[in-house]
Amino acid sequence: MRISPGQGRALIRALVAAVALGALLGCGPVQSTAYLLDAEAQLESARSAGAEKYAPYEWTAAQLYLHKAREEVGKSAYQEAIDFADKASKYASRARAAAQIAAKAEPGKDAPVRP
Amino acid sequence: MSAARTSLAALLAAVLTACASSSKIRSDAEVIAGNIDVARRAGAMRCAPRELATAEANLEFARAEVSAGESVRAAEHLRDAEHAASKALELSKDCSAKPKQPLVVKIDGSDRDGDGIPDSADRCPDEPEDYDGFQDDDGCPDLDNDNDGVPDAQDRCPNTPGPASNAGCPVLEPSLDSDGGGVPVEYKRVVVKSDRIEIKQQIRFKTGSARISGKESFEVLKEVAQALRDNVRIRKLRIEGHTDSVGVDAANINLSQMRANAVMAELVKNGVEPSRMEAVGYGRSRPVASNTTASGRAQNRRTEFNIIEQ
Repeated sequence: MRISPGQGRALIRALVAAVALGALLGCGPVQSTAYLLDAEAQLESARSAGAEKYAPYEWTAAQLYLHKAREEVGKSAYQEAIDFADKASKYASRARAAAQIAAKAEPGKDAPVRP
Repeated sequence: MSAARTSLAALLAAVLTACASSSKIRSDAEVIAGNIDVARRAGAMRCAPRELATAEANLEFARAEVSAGESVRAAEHLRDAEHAASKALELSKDCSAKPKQPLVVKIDGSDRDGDGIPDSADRCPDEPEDYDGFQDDDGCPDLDNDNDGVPDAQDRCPNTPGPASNAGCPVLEPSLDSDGGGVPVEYKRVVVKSDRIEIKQQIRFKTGSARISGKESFEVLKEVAQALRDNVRIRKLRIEGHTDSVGVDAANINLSQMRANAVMAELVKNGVEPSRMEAVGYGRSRPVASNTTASGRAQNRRTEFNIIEQ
């Protein structure tokens, strides 16, 4: 079967539209998942450093923001999920750093060993 | 035609309800933000870090939800924020001046004293910052904020100089000292009595809200704050919120508590130590006049400032 030039252009247009639509629909969930995974990793790292004990403010905030980010994903509010997950990552990172310093400063104690 | 009218009326009612609800959430959020601010100043970062973080995060979530039109979820977050803020305030009441450990940390390069401020930005790289809410960014501990020779840990007025004989608080001139045997202080809007600070004009609030309204209300509160600063003998003041009998009990108690909290936040803004005050909402339970008349109800809607410790 031969395709005429007119049919070819229509086919390309349809293909481009399909790819664009796919990107638009797929981008949010993929991006937000990536942010969530990053926040989870940061939180785990903070936990290993003893953040729960040494940096309770940052640790609590990180957990709450991560929880909220997951809730937003559940509502398909991907941009909000990304924003909250990003904040969770930042708080977790601060919590880890604070915990490492506080653990070092505590007499007779070394910082917990990261796995 | 009639069905269309009914639908339109229902739609209008729904829109108005949603707007009113959003507006109430926003105004409540302002009050809670004030409470969080009070808790922070009182040292919640050290004494109630989890509660402070919970209050702040939930307040942000509530604001985000109300912007997204999710009033119900916003209200849930607001409740959590309010609860956490109250707890943070409670835990910070007797927050010691000395922190147990540094909690605000900025990491960038080496940090010899481990106070979380990198040596490059630390004016005292070998002495850890004390994080007492006074010049906490310079990296130097401030053990006597007001340089009055009374260490902050023993200073009842750590940011205002005063002799050790007066617990670090300033001694007033006899002409200003209403409790020192001199001429009583003349205030325009308040009278300091032995058991209370009486206000000559009631604090006004927006209807159904805890937002203080009217320039005069703020002027009255400024004088209450001034009276508290002048009268160091007043160790604890109870700010009481009272309502009339209109409405549901639980709502009245909640509103009166939030209004008392808002008044306390305003006094803190005017330089009163949070540890010298407590805010209690009594709702309709303590009327001073009959609730059957409009003037009686007006008298019952009031804020009182009772001295409970001196």
